[in-house]
Amino acid sequence: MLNSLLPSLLPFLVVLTLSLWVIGAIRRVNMWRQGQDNPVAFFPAIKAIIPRYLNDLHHVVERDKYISNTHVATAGGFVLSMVLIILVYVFGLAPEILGKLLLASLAMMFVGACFVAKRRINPPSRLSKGPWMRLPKSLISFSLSFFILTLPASGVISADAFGWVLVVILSAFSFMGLTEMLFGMTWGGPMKHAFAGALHLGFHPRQDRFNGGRSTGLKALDLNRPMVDKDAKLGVEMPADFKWNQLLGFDACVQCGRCESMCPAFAAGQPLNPKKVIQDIVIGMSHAQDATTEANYYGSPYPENQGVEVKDHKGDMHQPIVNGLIEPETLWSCTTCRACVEECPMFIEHVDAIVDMRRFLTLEKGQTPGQGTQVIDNLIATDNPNGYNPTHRMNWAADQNLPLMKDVKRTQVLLWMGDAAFDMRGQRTLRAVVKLLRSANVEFAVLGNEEKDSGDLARRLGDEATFQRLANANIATLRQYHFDMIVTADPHSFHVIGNEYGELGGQYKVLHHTTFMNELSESGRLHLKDDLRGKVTYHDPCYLGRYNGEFEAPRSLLKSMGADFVEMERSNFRSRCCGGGGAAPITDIPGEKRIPDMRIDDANATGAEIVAVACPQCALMLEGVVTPRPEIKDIAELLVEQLVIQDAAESNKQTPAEVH
Amino acid sequence: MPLSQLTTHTLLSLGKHPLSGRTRRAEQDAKAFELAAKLGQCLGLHAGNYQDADALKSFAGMSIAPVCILEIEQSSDPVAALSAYFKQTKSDIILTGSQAERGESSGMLPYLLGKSLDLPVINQVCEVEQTETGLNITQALPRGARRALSVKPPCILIIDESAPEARQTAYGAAMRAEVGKLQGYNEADTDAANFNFEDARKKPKRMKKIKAKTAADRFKAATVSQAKGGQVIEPKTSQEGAEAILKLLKEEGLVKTN
Amino acid sequence: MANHVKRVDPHLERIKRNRLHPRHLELTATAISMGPNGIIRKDPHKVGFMGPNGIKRIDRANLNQASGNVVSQMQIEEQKPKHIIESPTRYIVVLPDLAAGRLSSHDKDVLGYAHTLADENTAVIAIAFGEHKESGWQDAGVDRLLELNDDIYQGFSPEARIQALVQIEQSLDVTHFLFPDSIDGGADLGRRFAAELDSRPVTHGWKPLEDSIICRASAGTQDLTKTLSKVMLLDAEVADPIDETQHAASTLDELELAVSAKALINDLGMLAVNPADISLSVAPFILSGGNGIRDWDTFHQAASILGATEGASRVAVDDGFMPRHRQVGASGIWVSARVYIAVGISGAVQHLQGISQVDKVIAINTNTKCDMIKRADLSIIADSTDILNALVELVQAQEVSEGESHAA
Repeated sequence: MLNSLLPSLLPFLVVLTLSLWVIGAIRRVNMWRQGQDNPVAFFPAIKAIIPRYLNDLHHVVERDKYISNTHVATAGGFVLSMVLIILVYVFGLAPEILGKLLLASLAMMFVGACFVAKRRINPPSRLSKGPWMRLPKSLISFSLSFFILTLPASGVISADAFGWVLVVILSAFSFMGLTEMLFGMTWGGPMKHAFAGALHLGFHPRQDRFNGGRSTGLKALDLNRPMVDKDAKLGVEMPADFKWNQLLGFDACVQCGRCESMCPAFAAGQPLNPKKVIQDIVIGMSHAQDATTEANYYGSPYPENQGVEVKDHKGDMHQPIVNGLIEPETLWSCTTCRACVEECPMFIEHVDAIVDMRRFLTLEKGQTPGQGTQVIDNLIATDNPNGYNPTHRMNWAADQNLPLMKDVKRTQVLLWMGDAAFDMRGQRTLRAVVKLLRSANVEFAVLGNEEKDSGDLARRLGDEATFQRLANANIATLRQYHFDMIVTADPHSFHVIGNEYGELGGQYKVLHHTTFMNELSESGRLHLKDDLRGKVTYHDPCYLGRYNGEFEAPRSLLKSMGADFVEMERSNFRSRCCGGGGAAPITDIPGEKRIPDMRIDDANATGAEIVAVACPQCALMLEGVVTPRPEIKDIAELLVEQLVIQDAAESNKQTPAEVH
Repeated sequence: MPLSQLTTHTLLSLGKHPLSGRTRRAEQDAKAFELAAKLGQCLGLHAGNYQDADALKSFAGMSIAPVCILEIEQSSDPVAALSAYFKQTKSDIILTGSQAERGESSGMLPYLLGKSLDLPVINQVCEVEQTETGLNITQALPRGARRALSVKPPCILIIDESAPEARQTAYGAAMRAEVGKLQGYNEADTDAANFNFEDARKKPKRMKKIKAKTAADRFKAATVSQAKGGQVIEPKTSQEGAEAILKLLKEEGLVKTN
Repeated sequence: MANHVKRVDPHLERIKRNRLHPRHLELTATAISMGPNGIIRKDPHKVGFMGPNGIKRIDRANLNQASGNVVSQMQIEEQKPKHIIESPTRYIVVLPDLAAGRLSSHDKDVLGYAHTLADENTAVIAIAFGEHKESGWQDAGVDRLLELNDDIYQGFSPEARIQALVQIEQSLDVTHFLFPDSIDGGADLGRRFAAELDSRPVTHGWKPLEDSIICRASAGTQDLTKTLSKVMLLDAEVADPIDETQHAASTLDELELAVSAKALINDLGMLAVNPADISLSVAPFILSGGNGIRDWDTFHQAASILGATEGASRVAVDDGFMPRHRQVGASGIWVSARVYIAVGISGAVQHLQGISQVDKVIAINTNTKCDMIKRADLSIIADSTDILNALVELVQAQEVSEGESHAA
C-alpha cells in the first residue's frame, strides 16, 4: 500500500508546491520591479548573497545569541532538507545515503523549530503575532512529518511500518509544512522573509554597506527631472516611487521588532514605529497580490495615535502612502538616528525610506510641518536655520583673531564652524576648539562669513533643493582654497560634508574634532592633565557614532584625561539619540515623554556628574532638560579645562597678533 | 451670487529679505494669495518685467492659482497698467498686501487703484466671508481687536499681517509652473525715476530730554537711578496677594473697575 | 541806645573768616545768586548742612525737599509761554489717531513736527474724528481744534472722513496734511486722502531735513529722501513733541461741512474676541505658566475669567502642558503685552528676552531669588494655585456685585 502511495504522493506534493513557489517568485519579482530602476549587476549580487548572509547578517543576528543559534539550526536545517527532499523524493537519488543525511538535517531543523516555538510561548511585545505564531507549528510539522516519512525511505525502518492512514496524515502534515515553507515563501507569509531577504542581501540599494563597509549618506535627487518630464515627481508618493530594491527590502522584513525596541521616538510615545512604517508600505504594495497575509499587521501599533487603522488602509502600488497608509506625523517623528537601521537583521533602510517620503511632502506638497517651513525659508534667505544675518556668522569670534581662508588661501586645517557659530552654547565649544588648536600649534583657518549651513537640516526636512544649493555653494567656496583637511565640532556637518558632498563633486578629508584632538593627544602635541574630577559618561552623537563609526576617539580622550568613565546602558552603536537629529525638534511631534529626558535618565542611572557630548545639537537638547541633571560638557570644553598650557615663548610665536 | 462665481485677482510682488536682501515672495502678497484660495476663481497678477518670471514661481509653487505677469517697462507706473487691465477685465475682488518690500513701498497702490477704478478699499483685512448680499470682512485692529465690516463687491482688500499664514511653496510645483504673460499699458512714472535709494540709516534712540532749569535738577536727573524697583509682596493671605494683582490690572484697564 | 551800638562777637567773626570752621556756613548766607547769563548759580561752598557724623552734606538732589519741589514745578507749568496765532493765513492740518480716545505719543510727535513747518502766520489744526477723551490739546501744540463727532464719522468711516478732509482742503489754505503712519488709523486715512488728492505723499517719513524728509522705503530696509508733500505720513519720533509752549486749541467753527452719509463700506461694529484666539505676539494681556504650576486647570480657569491670553515657558511646553505655539521667549514668541503675569516662571534668559517689550510684569513665584522677580514690577511670593484661586474669586465676586447693581 505504502509502496504504491508514497512514491507518487510525496513527489507530487513537492513538485506542486515547488511549481507554486516558482510562480509566486515570478509574481513577487514582478511586483518589486514596479518600483523605480536602480541597476545592480545580477551575477555579482547573487554571488554575494551567501557571504553576506554568513558575515554581515549573522553578525547582526548574533547580538541575540538565542535567536542566532535557533536561526542557524532552523534555516540551515531547512535549506539542506529542502535540497535533499528534492533529490530524494523528486529525483529518487540514492535514498539510502541521502535519506540518512536528510534525517539528520530534519532533526536539526526540528530542534531549531522547538526553540522557535519556545520563544513564541511568551513572546516579547516587539515580535509580531498573527501568522508568526503559526510559524513554529509549521516548522515542526514540516520537519517532523518529513522525518517520519523519510524513516522508511532511508531504510532505517521497514517500508511497511506505517499504515496507510498514518501515511495520509503524515502527508497532510508535510503538505501543510510545504505550503508554509514554499508556497508561503513567495505568495506572502512569514517565510517570505527568506526569499526576499536573501535577494535583498544581494541586491541591496546600498552595496557598500557590506563587508565592513559603511554607507550612511543620503543619495542625491535629480532636481531637474520635473523640468524635463512634467509627470516625474520628487521624492516618494506611492510605493511604486521607491526604487525596486527598496521595495524588495521592505518585503524582507521579518517583523522581529528590533527596530521598534531601539527607536527613541517609539520609546518616547511619538507616533512612530519603524516596523509598522515598513509593514504599512508592504501592505500597500502587496495586498492585491498576497494570498496569505490577508493584508494585515499583528505587531505593536504606533504609540499616541494609532496611525491609519489597518482596516482603513487605502493603499496600492500606485496610490499615495501618506494619509492612505501612513500619517505624516509618523514620518516627521523620526530623528534619523539610524538605530533601527543598525539593528535590522534584514538590512532594511528605514531612514532612507522616511526621508524619501518626506522629500515628496516638502518638495511636491509643501507640507513641512511645525517650524519646518520657517526654517527652510530662513535657510533659503539667510543660509542658516534661525534667520540670523548671514554677515554675523563671525561675530562670535570678534575677540579670537581667527585667520580667514579668504586671507590665507592655504592652510593645514580648515575649521568648519557650523551653525553653532550663531548659538551661545555652541560658541563656548568653538572657543574651546580654537584654544586647543592654538595650544597644539595647529595651522588653521576658518571660512568666516563665507561659510553656509551644511544643508543637513534642509535635507532631513526633505528639502533636497535647498540642500543642494547650500552644498554646491559650500563646495564652490571650498574649491577656491587649499587645505589638508576639514575639522569640525559638529557631527552633522562632519557627516554631510564627508559623506554627502561627494556625490555633488566635493571630496574632502573631514575629521570630527574628537578624532583630531585624539590624534594630537596621542602624538603628544596636546598636553593634558589626567586628573579630571567627577564621574563622566559619554553620549555618542548618532551622526558621529552610528553614521560614521567613531566611537573610540572620544572615549580615548576622556580616558587620557583620567576620567572616572562609565558607560550608559545604551552606548556605542546602540546609543540612544538625544532627540535633536533629523529636524525632529523643528517638526516637534508631541509624544508622551521627551527623548532628551529619557537620555538624561540613562545618564542618571550611571550616577555620572558630567555627561560628555561631542555635538552642539546634543548639548542643546540635553541642557534643555530640567535640573537637577548632570552637567553637559562638550569634550572640547573638558579638554580645555585639562589643558597644560605650553611655555609662553612657544605660544607667542604662534599667535603674535594677540600679544601686540 | 455664490462665492465660486466671484472672480478674484491677487496682486503679487517680489519681496526682499530684510537681512540678506535676497529675492523672495513678498510675505503679505503670499498671505493675500492664501486668502484668495478660498474665494473662487483666482489669478495671481504681477505688473513688471517678464524677467522676474522665475522669481514669481515661488507664488506658483503654492498651487493656488495661475500666475501671470502684466508686462510693463521698468520706468512705467504699475498703477496705470493695473488700472488699464482692470478696466478691461472685471474682477470682483482685488487682494493686495499693504506695502511692497522693494522700491518706494509707499503702500499707495491699492488706494490709487481704488480711486482710479472707483472701488471701495478696505485695509487690515484678516478674514473674508461671503454672504447673500456681499462680503463680510473682518478687519484686524491693533492688540488683537477685530471689527466686522460689510461691502459689496467689486472691492479692493488690503491684507493684514494677522491674516492666515501663507502655505509653503513646493519646489516641484514651482519648477513645473509656467508663468503667463500679458502686455501691459505703459505710462511713465516720472517722479520715481528720480528716486535715489540708500541703505536705511539707523534710527537714533530718542534721548530722554532733561528740562531741568537748575544745575541741581540736571544733576539729579543724571544720577538718580531710574530703576522702578519692582514691588515685592509676601502676602499673609492669598487674598491679599490677589488684591495687589487686581489693583494693578484695574490701573491698566484690563479688568473693569466697579 | 544799646541798639545802635554795633556789637561784634569776635568769636563769630572768626568763624565767618574761617572757611573750615564747622559753623562757617551758618553764618555766611546767600548761597544762591543770579549768574551773568541769567542762570541761577549755587555756590557749593555756601550750601549744605552738617550731617549726623559732622560731615558736611550738600543735598543737591533736593531729596529732603520733595514737597517744595512740586510747588516749583507747578510754578514752571504756569509760566509756559503762550503761543497764540490770532489770525492765521495758512494752516497745517494734523489728524491724530486718538487711539483709545487720547493723543498717542506718535500723535504728539506729528504735532511737534507740524510746528517745525509752521511760521508765525500758520496755525496747526488738529481734527478729532469720532468720540475722544483728550483734554490736553493746549499742551500738545494744537492752535485750532476741529471736533467732528457726528454719527457718520464714528467707527470705520473712511468715506465720510475723506469727504470732510476734501472740503477742508477746498475751504482753507492748507499747506500740509500730516498723519501718523500708524496701524491705529493714520496710515490708512492718509493714504486714502493722498489718493483722493492724487498727490504723491511722503510715507514713513522719519527724519526731517531742510525742505525735504527722509522716508523709509523697501519695507524699512532702505531710505528715500522726498521733498515735502501736501499729504505726509510720518513715523513715530519724527520730531520732538511740544512741551514748552501753551496753545489756544480754540474751536474752528467757521467751517460748514456737507458730508453725505452714503457709504459703500458698512461698519458692523467690534467683534467680541476670545482672548485665546489672539495671537500671543499682539495680545495685550497674557497669563503665562511655567514649571512652578501644579494645577493647570486653575491656570486655564484664571485665564478665561481674567480674559487673558495664555502663554507658557519652554519647560511647560516641553512637558506637554501647553501647545508649542503658546511658548513665550527668544525661541518661541516675542510678546508685547501691556501686562504679563508670569506664574511659576523662574525667568530663563531666553524667556526674559521674549518679554522685553512688556510694559508691566507681575510675577507669582515661591522663589524670591529668581530672575523673574528682578524683572517684575509686582511680585507676589506665594503658591501660584492659591493666588490664582483667590484672584478668580475676587473677579467673580466683583462681577456678581456688578450684576446686582445693574439689577437694582
